[in-house]
Amino acid sequence: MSFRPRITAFLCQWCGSKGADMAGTSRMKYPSTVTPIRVPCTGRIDLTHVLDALTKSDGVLIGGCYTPSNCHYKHGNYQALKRVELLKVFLKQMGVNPDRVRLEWIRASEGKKFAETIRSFTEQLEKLGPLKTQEEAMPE
Amino acid sequence: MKKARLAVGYGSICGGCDVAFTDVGTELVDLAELVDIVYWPAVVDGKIEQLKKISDIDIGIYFGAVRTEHHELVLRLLDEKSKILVAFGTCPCYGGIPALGNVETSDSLLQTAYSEAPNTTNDGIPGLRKLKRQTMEVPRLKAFISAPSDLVNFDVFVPGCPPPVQSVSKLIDLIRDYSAGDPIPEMHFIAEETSVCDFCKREKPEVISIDRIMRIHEVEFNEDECFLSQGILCMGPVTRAGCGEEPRCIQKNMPCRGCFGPLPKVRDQGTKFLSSIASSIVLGKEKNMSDEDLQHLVKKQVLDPVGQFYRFALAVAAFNRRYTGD
Amino acid sequence: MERKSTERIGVFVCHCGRNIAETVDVERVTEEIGEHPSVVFSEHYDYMCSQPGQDMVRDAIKNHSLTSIVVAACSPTLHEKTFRDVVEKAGMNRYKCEIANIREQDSWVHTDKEEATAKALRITRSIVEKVRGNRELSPIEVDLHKRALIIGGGIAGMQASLDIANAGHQVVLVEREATIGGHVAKLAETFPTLDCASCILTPRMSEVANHPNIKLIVNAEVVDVEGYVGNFRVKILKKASYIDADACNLCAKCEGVCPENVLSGFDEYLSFRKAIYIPFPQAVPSTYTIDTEACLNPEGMKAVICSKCRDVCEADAINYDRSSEMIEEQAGVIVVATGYQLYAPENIGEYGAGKYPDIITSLQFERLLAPNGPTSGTPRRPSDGKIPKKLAFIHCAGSRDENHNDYCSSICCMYSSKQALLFHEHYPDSEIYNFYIDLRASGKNYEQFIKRVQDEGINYIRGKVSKIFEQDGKVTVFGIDTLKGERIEDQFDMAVLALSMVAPAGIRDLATKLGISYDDYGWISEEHPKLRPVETPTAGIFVAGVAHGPKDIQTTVAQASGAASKVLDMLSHDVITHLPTVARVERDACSACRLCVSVCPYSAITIEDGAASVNEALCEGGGLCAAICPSGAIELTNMTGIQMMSMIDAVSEEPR
Repeated sequence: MSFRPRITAFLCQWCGSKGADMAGTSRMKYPSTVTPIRVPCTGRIDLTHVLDALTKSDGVLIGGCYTPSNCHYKHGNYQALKRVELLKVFLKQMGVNPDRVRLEWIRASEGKKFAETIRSFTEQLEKLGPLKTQEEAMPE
Repeated sequence: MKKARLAVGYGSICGGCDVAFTDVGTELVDLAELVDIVYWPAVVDGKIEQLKKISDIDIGIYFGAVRTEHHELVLRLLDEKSKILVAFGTCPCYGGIPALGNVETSDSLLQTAYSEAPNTTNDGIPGLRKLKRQTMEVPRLKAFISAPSDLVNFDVFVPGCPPPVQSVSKLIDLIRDYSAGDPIPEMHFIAEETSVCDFCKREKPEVISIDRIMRIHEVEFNEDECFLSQGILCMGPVTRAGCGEEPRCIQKNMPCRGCFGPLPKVRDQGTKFLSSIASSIVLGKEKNMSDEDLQHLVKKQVLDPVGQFYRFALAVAAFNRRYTGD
Repeated sequence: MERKSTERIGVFVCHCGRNIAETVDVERVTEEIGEHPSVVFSEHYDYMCSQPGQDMVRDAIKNHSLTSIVVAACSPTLHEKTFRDVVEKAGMNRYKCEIANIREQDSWVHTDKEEATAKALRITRSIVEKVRGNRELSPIEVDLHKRALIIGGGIAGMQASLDIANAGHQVVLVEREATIGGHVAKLAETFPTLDCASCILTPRMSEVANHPNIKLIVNAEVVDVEGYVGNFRVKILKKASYIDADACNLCAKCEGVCPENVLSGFDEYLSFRKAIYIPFPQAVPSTYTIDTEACLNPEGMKAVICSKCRDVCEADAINYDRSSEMIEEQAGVIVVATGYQLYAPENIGEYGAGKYPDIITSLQFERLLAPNGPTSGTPRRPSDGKIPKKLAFIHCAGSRDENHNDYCSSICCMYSSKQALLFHEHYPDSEIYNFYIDLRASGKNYEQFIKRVQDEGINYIRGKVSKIFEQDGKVTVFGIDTLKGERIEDQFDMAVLALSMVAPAGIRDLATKLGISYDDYGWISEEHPKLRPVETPTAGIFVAGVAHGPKDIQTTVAQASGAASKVLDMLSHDVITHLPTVARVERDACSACRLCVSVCPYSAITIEDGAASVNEALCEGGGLCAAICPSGAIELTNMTGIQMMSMIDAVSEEPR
C-alpha cells in the first residue's frame, strides 16, 4: 500500500476552523489525511505542541486569520507566524524538511483554500514519505 | 554509624564535575568521614571490571551523558547496584553539551573526526570496525546521545554545568541525612522550583520586545537592565534557578546560558524558549511590515537555534537527534 | 452501553439524518468510543439537536451520573450553546460539554466511509480528551458603568444615542467635525421615498442637542481607550473652539468681518466660507467655530494678528485664550459609528475628476441639488454656472474594480438614479444617461423606484466607462454598451461620479486603540455576520452604520437601533458576565519574566508581588500568554498544555 500521510491541523476557532467548516458546507472534497484540533487562536500554539504533533504524524498545518488585522486577539496570528519561521530554522538544522510544518491564513469564507491546502499538503507529504530518524532510515 | 558506600561512574564527561566536587574545599573531609568511596575513576579506581564486582552501593553518582555502549553499561551497573542514584551535572539530567553531537549522525561525526579532519591520517573509523588492539576494545558509539535520565530512574538531580559549590554542599548534606537514616524525597532536585528571573536583580521594562537579537560584544548594554529586553539572548526565563543567590553568569555580566535545564512544568527547554523568543521579536510592531519581511527578519535573528536554545537539553527535546529521511 | 470508570463521560453521536450517517459509520464510532477508559456511556441518534435527542442527553446525564459529555455532530458554532443549555438544565456545568465536529470537517468532505469513520473517531477521541481536562466554570461577573460612549455623530451615532438616552441611560456622543449630522446633512432628498434629508435629520439633531441624557462633544477625537467591558476609560481630545457656544447668538456679524475665505467642506468645496463659520444654519451645537487652519492668527492662537471677529462680537462669546482640552470619560459600553468617506476621485485618473471642473463627485451633485446648497438647489455646473442639459452618471467609480475597491458600495445605483430623477423632474427636457455595470436595487421598494426612474425617460447603459475628459466645455465619455455590443463615445455637459465609499481616515488607528479588528478595507469587523452582526469581537464594543461596511440610510438606522438594543441589554444589568475560559497563573511557578505581560493584547496581565496576575474581566482567552510562558506557569483554562498534548495524542492514534 502506498504511503498515506497523516496531518495534524491546528485551526483557530475564528478563521481556520470556520474556513474548514465552509469547505464542509460547500461539500468540497479533500483527503481525510487531516485531523483538526480547534484552538482559540494560533497564538495559543506553542512550538512544543507543533513538535509533539510532528513526532506523531507526518505533517502539521496551522490555519489562522489573515495578517495584518483579522486576528480576533489582535496579534495572535503574528506570534504563530514568527514561531513557525524560527521552528523551520531549527528543523532544517535537525535534518527535518521544514515543509512538514505549514502555516496558512484561511478566512472563514475560504473553504476552497482550506480544501486546496489539504490536497496540496497531502501530495507534498506523500512525496516526502514518513519522517524517519537516523536509526529508522538506516537499519543496521 | 556505618559508612555509606559511594560510587561515582562516568559517561561522556569533560572532567568539570570532578573539579566541581573538589571546589567544596574542607567539606570534602566531611564527605570522606561519611562515606567509603568504592568506585570513582578519578579518586580510587576506574576499571569496569571493578564496578562489575562491587555490590551494595548506597549512593551511586553518575557524571556525563551516554554516548557509547560503555557509558550505558556503567549507568546500568550503577542503577542496578545503587540504593540512591544521583544525576550529577547537566549531562545526566538533560544530556548536556555532549548531546549537541546529535545535530549530526554518529557516522558523520566519526567520519569527520577520524577521516575528514585535515590533521588526521587514520585510515578507518575505529568504532565501526570494532577495532581491537591487545586487550583494549574501543566501545561502539550509540546511534545518538541520550540523557541518562531517559534511560534509568534517578532519585536525585543536581543540575548545573558544572553544579555550583552550594549544590555539592547540599548533596553532601543529603548523604549525611541518608547515613542518619532519613528518607530522601522522590525525584529530588538540588535546585530551585522557579526560574533564574526570580533571582535576577536586573530591572525589566514594562514590555519586552526585541528589535534585533544581538551577541554580547555587539552592544554597549546597561548593566542594570534585563538582558533580553536589550536584545541579548538570555536563557534566564526558561531555566531553573539554583546556581547562586544571584545567578552566577548574570552576576558576572553574562546572560544565562541555561545550564540548569528546564523548569519543573517544562520538558523541552529549547522548544519552549524558541516559542517565547520568536514571539518577543518585534512584539507589538509586527503590523509595520509585510509577512515576508517579518519572516525574513525572524529567520536571520537566530542562525544556530540548536546551539543557542538547546545547548544543554537537546537530548530531552522533542526532536533530539538528526533526522535523515528528509 | 455502560462501562465502569471513575470519570464518567457520555458521548452522543448524531446521524444528522443522512448528513453524517451516510459517510460515517455512527454505530461503529459509538461502539469504539465506548471503549475509551473514561467513556461510560455512548449512544447514537438520528437528530441529537431535536427534542428527543436533547431528552436522551438529559436522561443519560441523570441515569448514568455523567460528569461530562461530548456530542459528536455538526460545527460547535451551531449547537454548542444548544447542548450546553441542555446539560445545564440537567445539573451539569455547561463547560463540561464539548462538541466534536464530525459533519463540516468530516462527513461532508470525505466520501470513503472507512476513512471518514476512522477520522470521526480521531476527532471524537480528541474532544473526549479535551473534556476530561475541562474544569467546571462559572461566568465571571464585572461591575458595569451604566453609561454609553458613541463615537461618530452621523445618522447612525445619533440614532444609537437617542435610543439609549430615551431608555434613560447617559450617553456621551463624540464627533470629529464641528457639527453632528454626518453625510446625511449634505443630502438633498433620499431614495426611494424622496423625503427631504433635512426634514428627516434636523429635528433629530436638535433632539440630540436638547436631550438631558446626552452629552455632546464636537470637534473632538478619541485618543486613548483603557479598561474593558463595563469599565472603559476614554480620553477625548477636544480642539479649542475659541467660541462660547452658550453665549453665541448666531448674529453672524463675525462672519461678515472675517477676511479669510476658504472652500466649504460642508458644500463639498463648491462654495466659500469664512475662517469663522457655522457649517450650516441648523448645525448642532448651534454655534460658530473658528477654523484654525484658515484663521490669520497662527495655530493655537499663539499671536493675535487679526481680532476682527472678537471685536465685533456683541455677545462677547469669542475668546482667543482657550486651548485644546483632554476630556476623560467613563463608559460601560462603546458604539463605533464612524461612517465613511468618499474614495478620492484623483485615484481614478482616467475619470478626470479634480482635473476638469464639470466632472464632479456624487456628493458635490447632492449639494447642487440641495435647497441649502451653494446654488440654492438649482444645479449649475461649476465651470460656467450654466444648467447642464445632458448629464452622465458614472456608477461604480472605484467600486467593484480590483484596481480600486473590489467591493460594491451598495448605494450608488440607487442614489445615482435618484439624482437623475430629481434633476429630470426639474428639467424634463434634459437628457440623462446612467452608465452602470449591474443595477443593484435589493432594498424594499428599490426595484420599483428604479422602474419609476426608467419610466421617467432616463437612459441606462450597461457597461463600464473607460475614460472621461473635458474639452471646449464638453465632457466626453468613452465606454461600451455591453447589451448592444457597441463602443460609446458621447459628449455631455457634466458627469457625476458615483465614487465608492471607503473607510474613513483614522479608523484603523481608532480600531487599534479600541482593540477591535477591521477587514482589509478598514471596515470594522463584526463578531459574526449573521448571529452577532452589531457586536465586535471585543466585549462591550459595538458597531453601527457604514463604519461596518457600505449600507443605505435605512439599514444604517436599523443597525444603529440594533446596536442600541444590545447596549441597553448590557446596561439593564448591574453586573455583566464574561467568558470564564481565561488565563490562570500558578503563582508559585511564576518568576515574573514579563513575557506574558508583553504579549497580552488586552493589557490584562500585571505583575503583582513577584508573580503574574490576570485581570479576568480583561482577558479574552486567546491563550497567547500560555504559549509564550517559559515556565509553564500560566495556563488557558479548558485549553491547557496538558489538554492540548492529550488531544494531539488522540488525533495521531491509528484506527484499530
